[in-house]
Amino acid sequence: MPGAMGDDALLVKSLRQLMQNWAASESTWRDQARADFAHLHLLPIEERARSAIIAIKKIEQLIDEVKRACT
Amino acid sequence: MSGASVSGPDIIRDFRAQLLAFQKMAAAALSGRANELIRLREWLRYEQLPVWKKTLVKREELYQNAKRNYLNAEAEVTRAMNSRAPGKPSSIEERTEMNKTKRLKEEAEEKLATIQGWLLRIDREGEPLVAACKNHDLDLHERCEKASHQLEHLAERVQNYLDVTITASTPPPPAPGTH
Repeated sequence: MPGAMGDDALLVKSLRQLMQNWAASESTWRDQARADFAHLHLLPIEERARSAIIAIKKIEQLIDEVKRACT
Repeated sequence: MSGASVSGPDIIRDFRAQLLAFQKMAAAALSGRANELIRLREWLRYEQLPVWKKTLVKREELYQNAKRNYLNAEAEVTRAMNSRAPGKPSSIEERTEMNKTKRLKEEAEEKLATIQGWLLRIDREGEPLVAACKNHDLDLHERCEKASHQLEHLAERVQNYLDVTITASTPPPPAPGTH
């Protein structure tokens, strides 16, 4: 059973932190390779992570409902 | 890119470590939740369902016995009343017992129906979610691995550049971009 903060919320927080760190790194790393990396790797990861978070949220809701109904 | 620069490989390697940590966390959450739902389904199917089926059989039996006792008691009361002879004055006790066992039987029926309903719902809604979690996990793993390799490659290029400029006697200019 998720605690005060479910896995979905933890991942949201962690993804937000990752993207903030990425944005912050621009002050010390700024070139075409960085832009390419963001376009080819990071943004697809972010998009996939957002879908994963939605799936986790749904599965957590289902688990909570089953536990409430059957225990 | 105009004004391209990178301070050193550490900034790239730091981000690589953060990315891998994120991937690890996402993998744990995705597989953890999917496995939890699978365990919950197994618990319902192989523990709760047989327990409540057995309970229902027992409670049905208790109810049928209580019902028989009540009907016998009713018959005795009626007989006593008709014969005006001393006999059983009331069947209230038996009726109370019958109602109690009926409630317990109905409770078991409801519980069983709830479990069967949830098993169907888990199969219908949970299975696709478990599959989705596995797909997200595999895809994130693959993408983060590729991204990690790319970051390491970029960091090495910056490192190599800095090594060359340090080896040269001229003071190093600011590192250009990694591209």
